[in-house]
Amino acid sequence: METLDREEVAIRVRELLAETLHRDVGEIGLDARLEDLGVASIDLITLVFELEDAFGRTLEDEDIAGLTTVGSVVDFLVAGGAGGARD
Amino acid sequence: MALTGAGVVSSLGTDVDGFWRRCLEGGTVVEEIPAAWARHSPLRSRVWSPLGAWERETPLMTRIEKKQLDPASRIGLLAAEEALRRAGLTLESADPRRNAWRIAGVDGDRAGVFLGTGVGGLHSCLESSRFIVLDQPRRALQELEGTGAVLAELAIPRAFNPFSVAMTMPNASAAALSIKLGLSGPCRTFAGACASGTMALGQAFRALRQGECDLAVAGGVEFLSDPFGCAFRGFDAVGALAAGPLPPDQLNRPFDRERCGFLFSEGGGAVLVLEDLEAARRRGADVLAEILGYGETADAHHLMAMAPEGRQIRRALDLCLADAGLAPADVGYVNAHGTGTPANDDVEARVLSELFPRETRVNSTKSLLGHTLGASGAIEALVTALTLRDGVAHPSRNLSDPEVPLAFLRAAEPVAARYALSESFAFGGQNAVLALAASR
Repeated sequence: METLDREEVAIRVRELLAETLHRDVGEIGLDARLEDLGVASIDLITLVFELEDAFGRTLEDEDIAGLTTVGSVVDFLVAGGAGGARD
Repeated sequence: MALTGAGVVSSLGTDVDGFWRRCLEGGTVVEEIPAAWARHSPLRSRVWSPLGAWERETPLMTRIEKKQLDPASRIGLLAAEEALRRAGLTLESADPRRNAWRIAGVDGDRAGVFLGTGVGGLHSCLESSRFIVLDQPRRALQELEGTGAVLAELAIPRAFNPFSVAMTMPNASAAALSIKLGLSGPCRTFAGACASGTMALGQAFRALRQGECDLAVAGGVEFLSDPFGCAFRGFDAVGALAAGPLPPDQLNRPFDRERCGFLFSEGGGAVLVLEDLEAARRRGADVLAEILGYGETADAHHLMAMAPEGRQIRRALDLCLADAGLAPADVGYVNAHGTGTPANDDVEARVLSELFPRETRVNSTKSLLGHTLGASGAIEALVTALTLRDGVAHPSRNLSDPEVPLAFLRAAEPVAARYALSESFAFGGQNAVLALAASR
């Protein structure tokens, strides 16, 4: 399994969140709670689909339940490694 | 009611000017079907009309949003964007957080969407289905040596698209226009197979006339391709598609004695802007043409076969003429349904020859584009409007020996018509006819 660089993952996650939420990347801090960024349930489905596409991973419901902040999304992806990015 | 703008996505162009130029040249795009279609099905027909590179960047759709819209919906948005621009209407951002837009100066509550489609989001449904059926076999095949070619052939989507329902539902394309453009009046979908686009325009015309809205974004969209040619096989299986010994670009020949079925198109779409004529003039809009009347009937006969006596086609024409206040002799040009199937063209030509004077000019836009199903009526209404505007009509391609002696257009010719009809007849028996007038 490919090892991921945390900084690179953080950049990509923030970009995908910004794209999903139609916001500037600068508004997406690592400490920000997804809920506070306005990630509604449909946005979360979009985000998960995009993350799976970008990082070649499949996120299960229990994985998704643990994603509360932007940083937690990054940590999850770094810990699990990439299944083969498909961006 | 005035037509003040139009947009198109077709195999002959993805903007109205280029499309119309190619129509007047008698252009067509005919290619061999994708090899995989022929490998997976015993097919009679081996030709189709692909759209080519039809997508373009637009602020209306982000990269992520495109993945959540069926190609038919994306076609609709592109055509609508062009139509509004040509109508002299400006889009402005309404909510950047949703990438939502509105038409400047237009009350969204008084603006509606009327869109036709034959198969809705069939493409997306097939993609989801292929993933579900083949994801497990894929995993098994990946464990085996030498399965790369098989896996490539299966073209299995990477993942199940969680937006598959919203992409498949027939009203998705109309809804996408409503949502993106802030059109909060009536939002209706017309599923009348090959007559869908004509029905949508006719019903938009009626809604405007009844005061239900002040502006309508209306037309038809379709996308019929998938990696295995499922829609193609369905039509091929009932012998509806052009096939035979003639060269590929001569197989599609509506109204000709040697016609042998219709040319399957990958799809496309046309969207038109309809508004009250006086209101359009007050805001200084160019009027492309006017819609004067609409007639609609059903054969009540058969799902796939046209009623051979054509009684309900004649009645749809009579209703349309009456609605428009026209006599048959007033009609200088008819954009025929003209698919190129032996039975349909025969019935249509006989009805036209019985109703209209000998000098009424007739052509088939499907002789150029092939059949775009639910989009065809809207594209043909656009062609009818352009014919009236410019006083010139495109040729009916490959029409060398007409079976019924109508005044067919064999070349691009001047047509001095003040009034014209565009007619569509569908699987299911729906018949729809629009009457248009040249802008005064």
